Amino acid sequence: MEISGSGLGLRRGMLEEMSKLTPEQVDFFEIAPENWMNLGGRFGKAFRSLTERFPFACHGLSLSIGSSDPLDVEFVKAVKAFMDEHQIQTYSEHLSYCSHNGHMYDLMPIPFTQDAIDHVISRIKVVQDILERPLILENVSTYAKFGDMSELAFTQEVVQHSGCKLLLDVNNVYVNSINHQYDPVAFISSLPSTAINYIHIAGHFDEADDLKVDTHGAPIKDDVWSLLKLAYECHGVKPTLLERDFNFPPISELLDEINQVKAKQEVVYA
Amino acid sequence: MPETNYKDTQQEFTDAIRSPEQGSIDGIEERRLAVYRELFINNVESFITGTFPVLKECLNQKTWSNMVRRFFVEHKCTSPYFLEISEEFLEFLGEDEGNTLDLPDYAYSLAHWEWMELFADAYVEQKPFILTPINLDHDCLTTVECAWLQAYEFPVHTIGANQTVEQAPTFLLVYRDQSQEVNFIELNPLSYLLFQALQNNQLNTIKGLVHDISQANGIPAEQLMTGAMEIIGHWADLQLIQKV
Repeated sequence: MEISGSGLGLRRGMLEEMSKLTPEQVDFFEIAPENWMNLGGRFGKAFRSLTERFPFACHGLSLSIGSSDPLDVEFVKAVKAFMDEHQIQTYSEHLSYCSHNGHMYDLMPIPFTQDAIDHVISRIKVVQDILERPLILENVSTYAKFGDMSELAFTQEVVQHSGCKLLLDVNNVYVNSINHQYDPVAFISSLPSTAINYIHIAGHFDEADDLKVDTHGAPIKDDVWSLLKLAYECHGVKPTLLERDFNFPPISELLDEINQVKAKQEVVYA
Repeated sequence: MPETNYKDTQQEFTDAIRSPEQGSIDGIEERRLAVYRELFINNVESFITGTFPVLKECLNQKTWSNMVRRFFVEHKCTSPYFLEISEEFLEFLGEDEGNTLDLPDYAYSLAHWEWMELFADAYVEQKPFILTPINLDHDCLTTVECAWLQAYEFPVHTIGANQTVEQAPTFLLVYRDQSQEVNFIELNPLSYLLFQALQNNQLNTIKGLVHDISQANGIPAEQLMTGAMEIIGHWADLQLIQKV
């Protein structure tokens, strides 16, 4: 099933409450395949029953597309089999790396250099061949920058030469625009509309005035809501996911934010 | 300035995250590096705490932090799956032969026991259990798929903070019931042998299995039989045995 509208990240810690949601409340769920593959028992059972009621999107964490460690081809094949089994169409990942001499289980900034672009493009092509669909890559939050190129130029090059699609994370654009001092409006409006087919929105943590950390642990800030609106106006309405990984509020608060996403989608449609 | 190779940049950056004592990176503000260092070690620690809460309680803060840091620095994690980080951690503990981590002698057994609970919870059952009536006297019986026997050198199931732990052979049966709850039962050595025999059974009746155990251990079969039937009846009530 294809995803559309607005969705929530499915968390094992909130499984009981999330299992009670209806398709009127949430259009789709997103999961990290790394957390739900090879999972039986109560979680496997709950997951299966949810996939029968809702469309799902996979948003991976361990692909490490920018790593200099070898690409884990067996893992990519396993993801493909998992998606086929549960009839999930969408697989997104991060334009990032999370391993170097082994997995480190969190995201790091790829150096914005030509040799890294070439490396990433060649790996994207391998993944796309296995998955038999374009890879969707998310712009990630970063707190340090390596390489002389801009994030925008780097991203545009990768998209143009690999044929991959983009997951536009508007919170990450906001965070990076402060951390690396660029114009978030220019960044979003310069991306190719045809490449964007999924959007993420989340809250972040203010480490300092000039340093924001993408924690997914706080409500969404007004500036970020404005960027979502801008993204819809520039590129059209895309399926949009509300990310929340820590400090879970009552489900009603998440639904309020979901409803705000829906309202913004409807304004653009109208 | 010549552009450095992206691999070298990644090497330098990941080294700086894994081992903060290696110092700073040219051109990267210290507080920005600190964000990464904190995010990464906290993330790894939260995975380990999640699976091994009792081990954490049993160690002092310094030993615990040192162990987590050394895992992060020294162990090359090959699994892309987050639930398997605990398995990677267990492997790391198992490789520390000289106990350079300075852990109590029961630490590995305890960690294995805590991991076992996660394993049982997440295990993917190959053939779903179907409830059928069984006859203890005549049927050829075996155990269900979601039941695992473990033998430890320490009473891992009773260990808690601030406790002296004495070595004692400990036999535990972990199982996942039909409502998908994970439970365990402590077994005595003979019931351990009996469950093991049932687990491996392909052709025998209970009588035959008890006969074999009595022969191997020099205990009269009649003496074993009553107790065996009683405990197997109990296992049957818990839906832990089925026809071969």
